[in-house]
Amino acid sequence: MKRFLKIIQDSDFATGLLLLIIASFSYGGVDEGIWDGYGYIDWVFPIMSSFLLFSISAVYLSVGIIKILTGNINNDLKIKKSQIPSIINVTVYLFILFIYLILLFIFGFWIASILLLWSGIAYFRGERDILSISKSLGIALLTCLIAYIVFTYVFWVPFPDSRVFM
Amino acid sequence: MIEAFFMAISPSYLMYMTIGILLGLIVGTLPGLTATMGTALLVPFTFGLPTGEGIAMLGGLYVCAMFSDAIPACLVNTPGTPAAMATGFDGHPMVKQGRGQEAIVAACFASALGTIFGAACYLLLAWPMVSVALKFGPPQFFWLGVFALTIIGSLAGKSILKGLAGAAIGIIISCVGISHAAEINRFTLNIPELRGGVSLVAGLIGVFAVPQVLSMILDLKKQDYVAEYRPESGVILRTIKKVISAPIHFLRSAVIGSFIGILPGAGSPIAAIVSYNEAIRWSKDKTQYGKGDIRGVTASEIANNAAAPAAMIPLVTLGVPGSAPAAVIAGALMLRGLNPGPELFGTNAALVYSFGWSLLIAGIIVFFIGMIATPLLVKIIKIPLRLLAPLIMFLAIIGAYAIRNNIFDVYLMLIIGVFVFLVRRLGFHPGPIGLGLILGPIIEPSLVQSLYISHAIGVQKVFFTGSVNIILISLSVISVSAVAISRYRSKRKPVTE
Repeated sequence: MKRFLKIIQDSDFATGLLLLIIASFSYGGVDEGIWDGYGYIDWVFPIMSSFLLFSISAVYLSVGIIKILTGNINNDLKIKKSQIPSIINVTVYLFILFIYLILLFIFGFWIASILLLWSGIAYFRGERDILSISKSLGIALLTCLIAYIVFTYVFWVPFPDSRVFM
Repeated sequence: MIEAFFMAISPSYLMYMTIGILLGLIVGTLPGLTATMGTALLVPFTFGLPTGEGIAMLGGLYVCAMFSDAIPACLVNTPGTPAAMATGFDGHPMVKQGRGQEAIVAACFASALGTIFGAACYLLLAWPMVSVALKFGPPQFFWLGVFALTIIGSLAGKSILKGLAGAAIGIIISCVGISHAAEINRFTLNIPELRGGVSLVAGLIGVFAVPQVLSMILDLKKQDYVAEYRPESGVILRTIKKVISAPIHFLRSAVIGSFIGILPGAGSPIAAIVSYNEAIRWSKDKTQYGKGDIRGVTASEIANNAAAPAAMIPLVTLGVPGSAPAAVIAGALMLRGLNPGPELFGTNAALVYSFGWSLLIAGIIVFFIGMIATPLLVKIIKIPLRLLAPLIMFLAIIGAYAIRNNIFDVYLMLIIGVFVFLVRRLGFHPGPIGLGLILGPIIEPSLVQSLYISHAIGVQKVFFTGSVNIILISLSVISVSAVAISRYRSKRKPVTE
């Protein structure tokens, strides 16, 4: 397992593996019996793309295997300690986005969007005092209000309503 | 034509055109709102206006949206519409180098020049151009798409294989949904929402905006702003001089944009991509492209703006719209009982020509409005990243939702965005993935139609005969060979530093 984790930190090997997965998924999605009649016409384009991905993945995997055999594995994807705080920031923000999508479903546009903007701004600015937290809330409210007016009244885009409290 | 010119410069025409242009500024700047959507929404408001003023207003919106989509592409690397994808390749690096004002001025001036050239073609060369366009059938469109794909060689960065793989991934994403021939489900995973396919705009927001926001968050510890803001005096004149000092570059981009504009279904995005690719191919110094070369911004903007008025040429000559916004304008004319096509030329020539003049004048007005707005717009980069990142993400979410009023598009946008963010670490460039997304829906229907035709007359006759096919195949081969040779040479060049 430890050796596999080391191999996967090589960008060539990781690229080959990723492309192989995508190509397999895409080729696996092709219907059976497409070569009878004109069925292949619907699939010829994605099949060509899948074969291209298979070929490129074969090149990268071969390079990766040669590196393994010769003991020249690069661990260029290894995460450095100095990068961890930034990665935590990205992970927290992705978590905020995930919560936003759930809140959007439950409460609709207003509450979810204000919370998304407020929490994002407050988290990145590292706010502690009431004044700056209220400032972030003000920015979030104003942004949502402008977006609501522009999109709803100028471009007639109805924002999503709550699917729970209808 | 003279009478039409005086109609187009009448106060009422100018006033409604300016209103359309101001709306176009908003439509293009906000990712998710497209020129098609903007013109479609404006149509009901034109009912109360005389026909000439009404379509001039729609034309003004279309032309301005083709410029203003460059603003987010340059400032935050998020194209406002698919047509501005190539603008961001050099526009954003320019902004990062503190040349934000120069990038926007170049985009604005290039857009004005492109619009004027396209409108001049509309006024003077409509019939000869359309006779060439009629030589384009499905096989020619297929080869045109393949030719546009050769830009991967320029976009791929260090690894051309990763560029090719990125384009293939983009193409596979574009294939999701109901197929073009037998209307069967492809890659829908039994999810009903996927039957409609991945929205191009939501997909492009995912490819460009989401990874950009996540990269901003990643860099929060290193930098506080997108770039340094350095307002300079004399930037406008200096940039204009730079743009006009390359007349051949301008002519090439404008001719490409106008010609692709008249081909129904191709449109501004493909015009901008082909023009950008040709600018690199014909350039003596190719190394600066993608790193903040002003010619990259102007090549894309001249072409996508020249394509906008040119898309009206097949509409007024044959009754076939050259782009989606042109189709909306055709609808607006039909609602008034006017049938676009040769008949309209005969019965209402003044209206047809006044529309052409309106588009030309709109190009000039866009330039002045752009010059006034540029100093304000560039200040976006003065917003700290801590505030800018959540705001862009919020706009990206609304943009992805707004295009089809479908929350599922937001999920897809985020999934694609996170995927592109992760593969960037493996050395993939978002450009080829975006390119696959844009070109997939153009190439595949042409391929499908060509294959059906080939059942009757043979593959070789459909794909490999005819002057246009041979020219496009030769251009594709030359383009690929040129990239291969230049990469081989740059690898062999000894490192002197």
